[in-house]
Amino acid sequence: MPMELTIDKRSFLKGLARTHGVADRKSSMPILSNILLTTESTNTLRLAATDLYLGVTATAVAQVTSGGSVAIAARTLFDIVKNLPEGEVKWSVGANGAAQIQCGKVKYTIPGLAGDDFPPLPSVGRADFVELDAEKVGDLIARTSYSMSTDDTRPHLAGALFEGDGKTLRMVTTDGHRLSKAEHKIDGDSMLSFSMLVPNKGVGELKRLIEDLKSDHKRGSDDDARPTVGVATTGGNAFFRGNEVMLSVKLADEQFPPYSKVIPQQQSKRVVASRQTLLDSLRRISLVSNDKSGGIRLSVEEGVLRILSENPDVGTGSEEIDVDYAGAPVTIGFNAKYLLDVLGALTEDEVALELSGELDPGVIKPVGDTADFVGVVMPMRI
Amino acid sequence: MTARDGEGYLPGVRQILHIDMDAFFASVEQRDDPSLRGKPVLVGGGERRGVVAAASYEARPFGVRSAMPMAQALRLCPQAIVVAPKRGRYEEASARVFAIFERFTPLVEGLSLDEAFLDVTASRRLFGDGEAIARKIKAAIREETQLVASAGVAPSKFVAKIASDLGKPDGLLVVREEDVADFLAPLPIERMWGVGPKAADRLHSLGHETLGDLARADEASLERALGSWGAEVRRLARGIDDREVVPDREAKSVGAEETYDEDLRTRAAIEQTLLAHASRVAARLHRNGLCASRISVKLKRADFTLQTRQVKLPEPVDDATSIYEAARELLGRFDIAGQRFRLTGVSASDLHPGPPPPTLFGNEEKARRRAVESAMGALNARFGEGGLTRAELLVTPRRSDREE
Repeated sequence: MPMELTIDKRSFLKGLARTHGVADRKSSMPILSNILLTTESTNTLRLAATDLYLGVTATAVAQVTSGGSVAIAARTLFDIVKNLPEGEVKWSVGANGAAQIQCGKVKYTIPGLAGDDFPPLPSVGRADFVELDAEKVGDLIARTSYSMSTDDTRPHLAGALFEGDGKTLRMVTTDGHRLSKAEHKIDGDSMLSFSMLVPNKGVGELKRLIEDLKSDHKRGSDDDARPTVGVATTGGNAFFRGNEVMLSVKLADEQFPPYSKVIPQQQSKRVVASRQTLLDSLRRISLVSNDKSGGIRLSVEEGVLRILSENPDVGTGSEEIDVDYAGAPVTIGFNAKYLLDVLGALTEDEVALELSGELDPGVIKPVGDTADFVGVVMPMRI
Repeated sequence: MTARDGEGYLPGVRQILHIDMDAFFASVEQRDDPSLRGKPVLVGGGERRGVVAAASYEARPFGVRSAMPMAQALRLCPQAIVVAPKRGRYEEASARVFAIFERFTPLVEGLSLDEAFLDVTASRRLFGDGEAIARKIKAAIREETQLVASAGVAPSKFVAKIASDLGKPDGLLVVREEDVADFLAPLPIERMWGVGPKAADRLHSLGHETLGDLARADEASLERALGSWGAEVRRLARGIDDREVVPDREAKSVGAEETYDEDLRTRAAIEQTLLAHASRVAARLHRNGLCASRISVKLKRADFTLQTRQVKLPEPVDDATSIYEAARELLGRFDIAGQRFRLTGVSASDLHPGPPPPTLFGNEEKARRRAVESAMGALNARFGEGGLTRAELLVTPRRSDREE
């Protein structure tokens, strides 16, 4: 099927940049390492890639003279277009299926596969999209992705629980040793209730989509409205839509653990500290913690938190920082990385570390209430 | 055959001790119960189905060996007193013995509760030569635990182990570097680790009777008889053994394995050995304050082909139940139908310090079973191991009783 169009290099590159990352170069289905290019109308080119779990489509403005579709090696095409000079790109596909690319005096011919061989992406059908504040969704991801499991053999943990109940947007992640829950209040009551377990790769793509939305928004700053991302679910897939990009994610058909049971409601001890001071100290003292366990000890008494690490192979280190605390002394062990991850995901100046017994989970919350956040960390025996 | 190193130690020559407690379980029983002293004592459970875990020296002239079925042992030695094993007691005695080892060198590699290799090469300036150290350790064990150990002192693990075995009971045998070949040559091939009756028959049929014969044998013919193990056998028979003493704390893995006199033919039989190995691995992890994220199972067929399967666990473990569950699942990944197996093993690797870290969503079922397991251990330590055991260890043989 002959295909012919011209497209500006920049919009072509932008479309490719948003899709080529999803193409699966390691798949046993070679066609999945391709990007599917389809003419959608006389002035629209559609680009699509999928690994059968994730799918992403982007559209770009083009002058189509002859419609058609072709699948081209994703990485090769992206690299070629990235390195083309600025200007208009002439694209055509001959009867042999090879794509001819011409830009200025640069010419390429690269082999292609028939577009019909490309697996169809899930269809959103007539599902309703709900528009969510992209900044808020991005913030939920930023605050919770550190505690998401990366172990794909445990699909019930290797993702983010994303929920909405009409008033609140919520994201929860856990790897079994720590958990984070972030929430945002939302205005209006038009929003449908939803609950989905988005696998970690999908969360990563959603994060990119939102970053693109935010940077696009900054460029066209004459528009006052905040950028939004549309969300819909149907047929076991979630769809996220923003500008010219649509992301489809096959949701995990798993039960997320009953997270609210393990978030302690009443902790007997509350230590308030400067987030940055605590972060710096933990980083310093963890240099002499055990490589594998990363264990450090926290001893808190009135007004003082002592951070201590002893490792017979490396050495010992300790630091005292001023904190706001007036309870009984307590000592508890933690994996320093777990604490550093929570503190790094927050932006507030002050944090509260809430403790109970030395084998009970610790809770970290920001002080102040711009966002609702709880981080839970299991202690370790030290 | 004993000789002193003198002051000028040969450079590069190691001094390895193999220390093995004499009739360990039976000796602990005789020590703790004076009425058993001087009498043939068999430690083991389950009158009919059980095996002899240990036999006192008084029982051995009757031909009783450890790992022999209890019924057979009692036919050979009807007057023997059968005592149920008390694991807690043995673990306690073992811990005291290992603490003595640690006084002389940090390089202690435990093989089981009652057996260890020690590399004392660097300890000689402090404590005297290998023989002197072995003597001090034996004396300390006798003094502090009222138990008797045998020791072998040699430049390699292989020779040290044979030496401690030859000296039993209450032995101390030193083999110097220059005497290794002469020491090994006249020994019957059955002295070699892992050479059971089957392998011995094959080697006898090739005309090999002694380690000296193996040392001189054609490597290709040994490989035909024993598979890839043939070359190793020939090297060991020549006294070539560079394997280092790996202290448990630094070990990359903790394992237990056993070669059986009778090949294992059924899944149930293999599973029972895996359970026994899992318990030993768990005990060693506990002793060294470790937990493990990877479990592997090793099976050696009657034709000596070796297969292993391993699994990475989502959370590290240190308890026998979890290790056994992983091992049993791995067993399902072997093709065992119609095969016979001479050796099984379980090992734990990817080791981390300390007990497994607590998780937010503790598996309640697992926690419950772990509690049962530790209660079982405590009860068995007090009342002996006969009374309380796992249902699966009772049910399987009974079912096959009916089928017989």
